[in-house]
Amino acid sequence: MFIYEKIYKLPRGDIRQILILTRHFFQRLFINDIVFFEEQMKERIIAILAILAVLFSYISHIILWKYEFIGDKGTSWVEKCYIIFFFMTIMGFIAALEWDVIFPDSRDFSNLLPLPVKIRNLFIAKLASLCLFILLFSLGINSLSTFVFFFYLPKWQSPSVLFSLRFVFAHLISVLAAGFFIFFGIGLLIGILTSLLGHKIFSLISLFLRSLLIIVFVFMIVFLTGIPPLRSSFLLFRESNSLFLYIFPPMWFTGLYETLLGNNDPLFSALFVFAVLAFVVPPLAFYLIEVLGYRRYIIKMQEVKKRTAHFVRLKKFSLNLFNSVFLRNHIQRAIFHFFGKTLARSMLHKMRVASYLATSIAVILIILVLGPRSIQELSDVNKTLLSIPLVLSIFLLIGIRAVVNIPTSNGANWVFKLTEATDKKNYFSGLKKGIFFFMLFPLFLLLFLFYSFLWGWQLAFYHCLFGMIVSLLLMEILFVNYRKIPFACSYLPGKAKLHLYWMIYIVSFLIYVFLMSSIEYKILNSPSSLFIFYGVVLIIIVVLKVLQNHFIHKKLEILYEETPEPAMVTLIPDE
Amino acid sequence: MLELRGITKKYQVFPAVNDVSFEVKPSEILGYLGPNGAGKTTTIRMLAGLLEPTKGGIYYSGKNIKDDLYEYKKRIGYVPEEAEIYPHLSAYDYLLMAGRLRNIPEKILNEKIEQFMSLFSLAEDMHSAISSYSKGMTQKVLLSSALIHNPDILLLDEPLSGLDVETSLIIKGLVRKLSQEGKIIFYCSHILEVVEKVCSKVIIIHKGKIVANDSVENLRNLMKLPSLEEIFNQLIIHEDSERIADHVVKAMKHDS
Repeated sequence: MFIYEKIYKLPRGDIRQILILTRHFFQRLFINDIVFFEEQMKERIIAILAILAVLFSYISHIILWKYEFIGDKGTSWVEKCYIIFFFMTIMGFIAALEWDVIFPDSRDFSNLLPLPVKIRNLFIAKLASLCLFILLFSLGINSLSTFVFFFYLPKWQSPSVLFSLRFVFAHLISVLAAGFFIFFGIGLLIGILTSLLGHKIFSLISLFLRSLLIIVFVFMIVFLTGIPPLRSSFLLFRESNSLFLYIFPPMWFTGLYETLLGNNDPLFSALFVFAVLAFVVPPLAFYLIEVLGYRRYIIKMQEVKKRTAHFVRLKKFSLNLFNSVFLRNHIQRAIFHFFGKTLARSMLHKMRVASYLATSIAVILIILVLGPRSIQELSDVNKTLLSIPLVLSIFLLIGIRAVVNIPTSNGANWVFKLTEATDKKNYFSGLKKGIFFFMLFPLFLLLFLFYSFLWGWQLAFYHCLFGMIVSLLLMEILFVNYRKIPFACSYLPGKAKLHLYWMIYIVSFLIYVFLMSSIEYKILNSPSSLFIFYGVVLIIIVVLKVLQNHFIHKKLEILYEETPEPAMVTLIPDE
Repeated sequence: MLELRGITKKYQVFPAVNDVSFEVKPSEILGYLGPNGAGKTTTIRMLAGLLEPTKGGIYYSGKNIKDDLYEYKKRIGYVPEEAEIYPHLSAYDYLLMAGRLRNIPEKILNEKIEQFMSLFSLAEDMHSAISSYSKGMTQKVLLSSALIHNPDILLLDEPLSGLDVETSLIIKGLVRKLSQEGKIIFYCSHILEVVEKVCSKVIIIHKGKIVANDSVENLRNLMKLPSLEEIFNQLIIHEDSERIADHVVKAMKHDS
């Protein structure tokens, strides 16, 4: 009531300002560190919503079709809870993707504060844009599945059309409330952590926290897609009035669902109260924390970040040593350090790589869940454990291949154009050395420690060496026709043509991971064959490098500006 | 000597620079003037080898720069008009990268960076990200990057943009000093007073064509006008500036 009254009393100018700002913030939700829908925004949103809507309706059909035969005797709340849980997972994943734009950021403040915009309007608009976003996704994702529920369930309770409409209403309200809860819950987590830890510390842990959430949600999405609702367990919980039902958030919204349908069960009535609180409190708390955190944020914004160099001599000595051993060419040195500094300091690039890594960890968790059956099996040498480094490295390398295409600053590449050398191979060597030393080497070092703990250092060494050499081969293949300076050339998204080649990508992934882990499993038993394998792969890498250096890079022109593909392809060859 | 012979640059069909020819000798500071959109930046980008002319050629020491563009680029220092620079890098990182790309030996490069940073009063901030710098500080980094390899040709596009008075004076003195050292200096600017004081020769370009090319002194005598500003007004500005100012004020007051 309080907010409603406040908005109701706003003058027309303020309402117009809020509407304009809401539109602005809503559009910004689709342009952030991970999601970048600047072009064809509407089409892309519709496509994503359509895919999710079909997925949800399919899953709803799979879990509900049995009611055609057995009828609903008051147990369909388990399926309702499952679909709400699934929806919350999807919304949680979306919230993790939107992480950096959930609160107004420095770009918003620096652009909007010089304008005569009331701070109150700015916050109301931000909140409104998020509500609109959740509403759009909640209704969009559940649009088809609501009809599936409508088709299978209400007829067992009442033949009335009005009841069926009430059913649709209850379904949509429940998923909407669940969406609000999870989305604003993650928003609150960001707000509370920023307030408690301060902006500086939070920005340090933000990347890990966001990646962790992505891992959890991707894992849960895949897991939930494959596992049907644990019907018997839930019914047992219900019988024993287990505490779990009260602390499991999807159950709160199931309570809301059932209560709106007229179910007077005391359990659902109690859960209904939780659901209403979970629906209302997070957005309000979010608004409060947004307002309270603003002043501190502004003060932080005005501070100039000064960075002083520590351990200068030691750093210089070690860097000089490293440069003189591994980076003897000046171009390689420049590109190597530019690559490292950009990945370390550009949040956009860092976040993109982190999201690929997070997805790989989620995939590993799924493989682990579906693979070994016992703890003993989990620590034995088996194909599942052998595949972990390969999964990590393929995601990491594909991520880097995609991320190096995204420029940090359009127009600043004149420094490379102006200093371009005749022999281009050093640009690519510098990049590959950067990928190896900044990415692959630390990754395999960590994996070596992990496997040493599991299997002892000797086996761990052989295994990690295998993974590293295979990854180097993959890197050479992925970058065989790369013609750009990393982070410095223009980029046109969509060239990977995921919508056309997704099957090829999945098959390549499966071949890379499972074929290689099977080969490794066989040859780990005889170190001599392992060395033969290393030899063969190294020969392939050397051949690829020779091919690149003598036939590709020498004739190659660096591609500073990418040109779009022609709108129409003709059969007449270019002259 | 740096020479442009019949240079034309077309963007699609529109010629941004149309049949421009001039030369700059060592020890000469050429002021390149013109209103917005006259073709100044296009010319300087062609001189830097960043754009290829549609017609004509650029010659350095009698050789077309196209014949050995890499060798030519080694000899130029360039300060772009816009502060186009990687904001996530620090000044130190940026200069280190630029120096490495130019193959300056590491030890000498480090010493030079420290000297430049200290001379431009950036020593304290040289490890902070450029994104936190003021416009003037960024300009100092760009100037350092243009000078660090001791180029023979300096291409300066609005080099004083955002600089404080003290640094502006230093840069003006530096430009004169460099010309005495035999460098070729191409100085693009809107600030007519500076061009008048610093440059030995002036070219005025309008709609892609040269409308004047002489020393400031000769132009003053020829046109019987007391200052470069008056000459510029006479040649370029055909609209009544007072009348436009009146219209702007009227537009500001237009309520409905």
